[in-house]
Amino acid sequence: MDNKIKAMIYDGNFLRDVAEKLLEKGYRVIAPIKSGNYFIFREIDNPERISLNFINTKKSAKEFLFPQNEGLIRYREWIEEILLDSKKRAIIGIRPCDAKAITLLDEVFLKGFKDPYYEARRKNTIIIGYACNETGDYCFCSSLGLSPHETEGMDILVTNLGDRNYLEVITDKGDEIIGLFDVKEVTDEDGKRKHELERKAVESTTRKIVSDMKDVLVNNFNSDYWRKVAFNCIGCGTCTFLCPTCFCFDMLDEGEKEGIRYRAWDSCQFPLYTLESSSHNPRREKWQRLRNRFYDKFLYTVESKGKVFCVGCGRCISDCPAGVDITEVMNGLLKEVSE
Amino acid sequence: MIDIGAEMENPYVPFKAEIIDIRQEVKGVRAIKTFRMRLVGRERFDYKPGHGCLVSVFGRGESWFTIANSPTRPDLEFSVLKTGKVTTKLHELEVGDIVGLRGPLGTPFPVDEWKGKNIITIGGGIGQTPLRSVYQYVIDNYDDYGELTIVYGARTSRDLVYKDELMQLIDEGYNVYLSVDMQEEGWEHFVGYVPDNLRFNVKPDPDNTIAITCGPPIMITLTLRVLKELGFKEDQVYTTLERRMKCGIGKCGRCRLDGKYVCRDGPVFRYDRLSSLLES
Repeated sequence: MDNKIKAMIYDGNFLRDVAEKLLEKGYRVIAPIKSGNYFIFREIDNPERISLNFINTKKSAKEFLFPQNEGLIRYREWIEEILLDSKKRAIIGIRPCDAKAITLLDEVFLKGFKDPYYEARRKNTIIIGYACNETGDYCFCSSLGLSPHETEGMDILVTNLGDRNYLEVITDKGDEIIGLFDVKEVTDEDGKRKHELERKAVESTTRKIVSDMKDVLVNNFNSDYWRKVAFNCIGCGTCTFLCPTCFCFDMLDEGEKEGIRYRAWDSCQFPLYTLESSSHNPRREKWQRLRNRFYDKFLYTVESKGKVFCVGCGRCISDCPAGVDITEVMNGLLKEVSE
Repeated sequence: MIDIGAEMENPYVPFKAEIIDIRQEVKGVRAIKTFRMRLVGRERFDYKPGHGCLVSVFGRGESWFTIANSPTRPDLEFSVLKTGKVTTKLHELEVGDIVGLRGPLGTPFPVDEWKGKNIITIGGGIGQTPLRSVYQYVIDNYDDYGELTIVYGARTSRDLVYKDELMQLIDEGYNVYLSVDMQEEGWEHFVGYVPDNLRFNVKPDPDNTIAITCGPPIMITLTLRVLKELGFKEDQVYTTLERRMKCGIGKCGRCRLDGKYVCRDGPVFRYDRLSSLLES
């Protein structure tokens, strides 16, 4: 795959300029903007609003492919309309971890039964990433085999070399867009600078996770460890809400006589998630639900899809009100069993 | 092999179905009705015993039911225990009303693999539903299978579903072993729990036999124990599971059991493939 990636140089701020160009072409452009103390993804109509001075956004861009609430069917007595959204979109300025997460959502929504709602959005979305030259306190992508300059899941990756941008064009979609711009060849010096920036970013990522623990997880399913680490958890579901790879959803009807059948993000951290109408609940206890989050990300998805469902963005750590730390829990399990 | 949901263009959009008959199986607080439905404007889809459907009432939502009749019989039947938002609404519906159906969903019983074998179904309460599809299928393909045995019980005789059909099978000479939990006036069959009926009364020979069980979790647990005592191997035993479901197509996550989705990889599981799962 790497051989297919084409590198080039753009003199100027590519993310800003591509936003302008795509807006002109009628795309919905979703880009990071500053909002209060945070950076968030928003649909913008003016490229000047884009703000690139961030480590990562508060929420990932997941919601633009898999919205928090998404209408599926509008009904009256019977189906009136199927609400597919095929508008052309571009998500620009997404970080490599969050772009990688989209490839994991693809595993869920596009493999087996194709999810037509996700597919309609995904097919019509261009993804232009923004490499991390600096990493945050909670980042740990590099210990999951990813790089702060990872290109997976993107059409184009932009690395800021200071006075110019280093572009990596990954897909044909990306190629088409690059055709709209004047780009230059990469010099040896540019290549070296890019490489140096990536090396520095990897080195500055001090937080690590041990994720390759299939056997340890299988053998410790009934360990008291899970009760211990769940002790502080308040079951709020912030971790799954902010997780760029969490994909669970509920389906609900809004309106008795007429309305919309929609889906909404759900969380395995909530007791209602698995509560059956007979009142039987296979995951009755908070620690069972917390355990499920770890087993799902590091064992079940590895078994069923061959992929760890964590990209090391660190949002579940930075925003957990109870201090549950995914890296501490995983690394601590290894310590627990080796003692 | 039937490709599940192959006939659905958008797997979230139900087929339109009309209720053409309603049978009250059980009355009272745990009422059960069997609905016979017919797709509107198209032929019925292909399915096998054990396949399920999400029955949809717009404005209320969807609930999963295993198809209660064999594909060898006409239409689609669903037995519905009145218990939640959707099922309560279903119980209010009348003949001629329209509902939505998404299906066939899930992985069915491998009834073709079972050809030439004896079949025993062991059911409790509303758990008889998927088993009915199996025994009807075996009866309608009588020459393909060995001996058929039906074991079924409920709390009381008033809680038995498909009672008339079972009584008729008894009259026709089929091996049907019924039970109720406690003695009742006029009850001529076994009194006690289903696993006890199996252990003391039915005593099936495991040789060349497939056992299929469905019912409340405790009944399944005890039935599996009895089957083991009788010499059944785990790969001779099948069960169907229930989990809260929404999407029905292996996406939304809630019915997961380890990496398996009950809605897609089940609800039918061979016991040896179930016992290896962490969450089972």
